[in-house]
Parts: sequence; structure tokens; C-alpha cells
Amino acid sequence: MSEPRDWDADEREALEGLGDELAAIRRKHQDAPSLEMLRAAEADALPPDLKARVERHLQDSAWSRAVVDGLRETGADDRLDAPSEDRLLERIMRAAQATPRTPSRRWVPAIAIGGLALAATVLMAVMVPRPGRETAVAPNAAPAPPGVQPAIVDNAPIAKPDRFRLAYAKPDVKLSPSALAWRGDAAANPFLRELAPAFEAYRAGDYPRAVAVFDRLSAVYPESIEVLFYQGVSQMLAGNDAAAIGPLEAASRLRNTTFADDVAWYLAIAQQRSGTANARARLVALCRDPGVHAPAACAAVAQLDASSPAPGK
Amino acid sequence: MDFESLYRQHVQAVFRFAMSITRRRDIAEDLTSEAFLALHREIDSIDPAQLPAWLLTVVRNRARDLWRHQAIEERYAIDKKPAATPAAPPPSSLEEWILEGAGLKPIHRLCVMLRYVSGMTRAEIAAEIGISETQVKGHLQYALSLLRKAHGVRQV
Repeated sequence: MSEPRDWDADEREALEGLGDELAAIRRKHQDAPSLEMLRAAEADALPPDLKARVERHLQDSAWSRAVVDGLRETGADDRLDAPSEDRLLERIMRAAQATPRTPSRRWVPAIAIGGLALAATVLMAVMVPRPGRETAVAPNAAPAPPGVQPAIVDNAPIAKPDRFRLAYAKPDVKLSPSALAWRGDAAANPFLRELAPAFEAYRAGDYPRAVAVFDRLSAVYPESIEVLFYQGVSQMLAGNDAAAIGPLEAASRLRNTTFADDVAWYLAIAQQRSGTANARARLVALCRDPGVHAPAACAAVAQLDASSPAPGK
Repeated sequence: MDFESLYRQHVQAVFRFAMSITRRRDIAEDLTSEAFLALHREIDSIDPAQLPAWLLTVVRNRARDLWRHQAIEERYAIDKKPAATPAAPPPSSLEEWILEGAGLKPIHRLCVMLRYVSGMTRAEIAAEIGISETQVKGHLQYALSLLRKAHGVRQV
């Protein structure tokens, strides 16, 4: 965001004396939908409830209608150049070759290129800790997207007896399409090679070691969704729920399509388990959402309310 | 038609559509990649005549997924905000000029809004709306020339 000092002499001269009016206009429209949201609404790429909100806003706001009119005149020249087109095709073909395969339960880099690209996330279940057993109360009822593997549900860490904590299932390893964007021999992909020891530890249940490796990788790859997500989940599995929140919040900010559902879910769980005051509100929001974890989130809210005399925690 | 031919034929349209939604090349490439991955999986059951509409639908659905999660965060934030919303003040004369000023086209209005109300640099505007920085500068200069006339008239 630039301030008036960023204006050139021509702009300062033309806008002289209009500072108060500009400030008033800024205040008036500061809560208007973002450009990104208006653009998505224009392309019918918003979920129905959000789309309805934006449409209602547009009926009342000549300002936002003018923004949309302006956006319609832009962006016609967006295109992939030839190298990018080739690179994207390679990436797609590499991931596509993996689609029909059943992923191995062991981390092997060469197989991971194929097996993990679309190997899927785990169907989630909210488990209620009970003496001596755990019972699934809300298996994920949403249909699995293409390429999703059957559930591999591991027991969550046992909740401490002093306060109710939601249990959760360990997510299986998966990779985003971006992780596979590598030209040349797949086994030589440096990112996957560096991830391999972390996933080995993760799969072996050695979560302190996984945390150590993911911590190191997060300094090298601060915008890697795989690193941030599994760094957070490894912290949870190592018993450090509060330490999981930072990496998972960072993962959430990346808005990665492959991981978005899981990041939102595990962040909410980590917050609840660490006693964050607003964890229930986040779970309620997930419950209202038509996402794949909505049934589990609704069940989690019900369990929280049943376990606590003071809902809102 | 084989997959690569379909990819070459439609990738620009799909990418352009993804960019029109996100304005971020990395996300647009992810969405494009996911759409063609879906096509690769379903290629035996897709009539090529359905393309590129089928691909655009995949992109649109993936984008909705992204927004759905952003909406969760917003809802979560809204839950924490006070509910009271003050009534919007009536438009000032400057706001009326931006919205209705004679001679301004929608692209001029948008550049003025982003530059002088949203406080963006010319480079940020260029990246945001997919035109060159030179074009942004030109649009702004034209708009300011009209503003000078309108402002002068108002002050008389």
C-alpha cells in the first residue's frame, strides 16, 4: 500500500485539497469485498453462500459495481509462455502417472513420485476418548474426491485426563501438484529427496525426529505446504499441540487447494487440544462449511458441548 | 484426440480463466494443473466437444473450495467482531466524480480507485489487473486531467 508520498508531482497537484475526501472514501469502503472476491464472483467461482453475500453487496454498492465493471476490461492478455506450458504439462503427466497406483505404506522416493502425488488424505474421524477404548462417532460422510485412498485411521494420542481433548486420526502422506513440478528425473527432485527423511520418521512414528527435520526444512522451504502441514501435525503427534498452531496457521495462509481441508481441520483440533479459547468457534465455522470435514467438525462441537458445562471454550 | 493434443488446445483458455479468478500465477497454475489431471483421469468418458467448458468447471469448483475455506476464516473473524454496522455516509462530490465523471471509462475508474483509495502503487495495480505499468500510468494521467477540469469547475 502506498501513501501520498508515493505520488508524483502531477498527482499531488491534481489531488491537492482532496485528502479529507479521499480519506472519507477509504473509510466508507474499507469493508467492501476484495478485488479477488469480486473477481471470483464474476466468474461464478464462489461457494453459494458467499456468492449470495457478494451479490447482495453489489446491489447496494455502486462503488463495488464500478470495480467489477473495471475488472471486466482487464486480464485479456494472461497466458502461459511456451516453457511454462511445457513445464506444466510435465508436471501434470508426472502426477497423472501416479493416479491409478496404490501408494506404498513405506516412503520410497521413486515410488513417492507416483504414489504420493494423488495419494490421498485420510478420512477423518473424531474419536471420543473413553477408558480402555476409543469409539468413532463421526466418520467423514463426504464422498472421497477422485484418487482418494481408503482410510488409514491411526489412534490419536491419548487425551490427558484433566481436560477433554478431541482425538484425531493421523493423516497419511500426500503431496501437492506443486511439489512435483520438477524437470528431469523424478528421483532427482531435490525437494522430495529432502522431504524423504522427514516422512520416513513420520511414517515410522518417530515424531520428535520428524519435527526436527521439518523444523529444519521450514527454514529452507518457508512456503512449502507439505513442510508446514506435516511440521504442524508432527508436533501434534509428538504431544505438542500448542507448537503445532504456528506451522498450521502458516499453512493456512498458503491456501493450497490440495491441503486446504486438512489444514483447517487439524488447526482447529490443535487449537482445541491446546486450550485456545476460540477453538470452538473455529470448529463451528467448519461445521457450517460444506467441506469434507464438516460432519466431523459438527460431531466435535457436539462432543465439546457435552463434555463442558461452559460451551464456548 | 490424445491427452497432449487436448492439453495444447485448451491450456491457454483454462489458464486465462484461472488467472481471471485468482490473479496469482502460482495458484492459477495449480488450478490449471488440477483441471487437466482430472481430465487425464476421466479422458475415456469425456466428449471432447465438452471442452473446454468441462475443464473450466473443474477450475471453478476448485476455486470455490479455496473460497469456502477463506469464508470459514472470515466467518470466524466476523464472529469476533461487534455486530453494529454504521450507516454508510452519502457519497462525497469526489466519490460521485469517480463513479459518474464524464469521460471516464470503467478501467480509468478502477485505476483511480486502486491508486488513490486503496493506496496501491502503479506496479501493484499493473500486477493486480493484468495490464502494463505504462498503461496504468496512462489511465491515471487521463483521469487526473479530467479531475482537474472537474475540480476547477467545483471550486469556481
